[in-house]
Amino acid sequence: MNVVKILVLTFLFAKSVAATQTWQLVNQDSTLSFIASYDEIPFDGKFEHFEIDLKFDPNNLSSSLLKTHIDVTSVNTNSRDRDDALKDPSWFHFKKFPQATFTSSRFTKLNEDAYQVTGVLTIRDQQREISFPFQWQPESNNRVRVSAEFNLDRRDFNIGNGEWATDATIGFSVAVKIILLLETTL
Amino acid sequence: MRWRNSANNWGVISRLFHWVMAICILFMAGLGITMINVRLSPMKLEMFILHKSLGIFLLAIVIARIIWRLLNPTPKLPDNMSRYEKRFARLTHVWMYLLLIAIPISGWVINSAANFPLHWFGLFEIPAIAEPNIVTEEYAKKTHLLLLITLGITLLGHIIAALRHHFVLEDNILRRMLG
Repeated sequence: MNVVKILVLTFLFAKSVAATQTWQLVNQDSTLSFIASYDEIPFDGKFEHFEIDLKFDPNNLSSSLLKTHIDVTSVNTNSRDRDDALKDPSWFHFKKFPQATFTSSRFTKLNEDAYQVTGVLTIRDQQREISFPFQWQPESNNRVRVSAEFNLDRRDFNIGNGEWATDATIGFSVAVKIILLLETTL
Repeated sequence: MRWRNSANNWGVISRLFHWVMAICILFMAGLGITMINVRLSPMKLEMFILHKSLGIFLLAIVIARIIWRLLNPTPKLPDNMSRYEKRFARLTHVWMYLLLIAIPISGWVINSAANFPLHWFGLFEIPAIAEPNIVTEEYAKKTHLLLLITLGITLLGHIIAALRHHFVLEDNILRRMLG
């Protein structure tokens, strides 16, 4: 009886994994950007290079998984002075922490085409569990557009530490904006 | 107390423009030289932010000053000056006004090309006047410095000339600006 149960469960599990589609990033149409503030005025920036590894099936959230690798050194705020400063140990510390990662632990459905992902975001030497909602909008059978917006506090990740842990000039809150175009092979 | 200029004297408004700008320019030069030489820190950014707001303030003041000067009679230069001296003095003043307009504008271009915001004394945002561009930023920085050096030399001549009028020629040129 137990053996049969295990076999059935194994079969069901294998089937669910097989059914969970793997999605590829269409790079030129995908952006990972953010809005921070300088002297209370917003400015935007983006990470030019990032990779994602996504298995997602709206009907099988438990076997869905997102892994993201962000090349922190590809940060671009369209300002040489600012981008030069972001390399420093007080900010992203490129030499020691060139990469940031996000790994999901669970997905939940919010409503039609909207889900929430929870996972661990690692930037620099800090790991934080975060959750954020995202839109999952299929454009065709094998194409989907994903969009998300959420806020982070730069202090949670030691970005701008020491004497920079003040919002006198550079605000603490950073709005993250994600737009991904994903494709899957049917 | 006379607000407007007369044929022989500067009014209160003109003198106020002159001395407020003199103090601001001296302070701005000191602040500018200090801020570019200190290491990157929140204090450095605060210095830049103050420098930019004051620069825009000075630009507004010099424009108001020129308008006021055009709406008022310009006090005559002393009769002991030759025609050429008078012409040279007038040209120098036009030159100083031009520098006082060009310097803040070149600073505004640096800030715009460097893609930094300009939040005027934290009250409102002033738009950029150039697209973000490293080449523009470098040219504007060189121009800003060159204009500052030119202004420094011109002001030195301006001060020496004022002292010469007072102590050597013993006319009222300096006294009528002091009030």
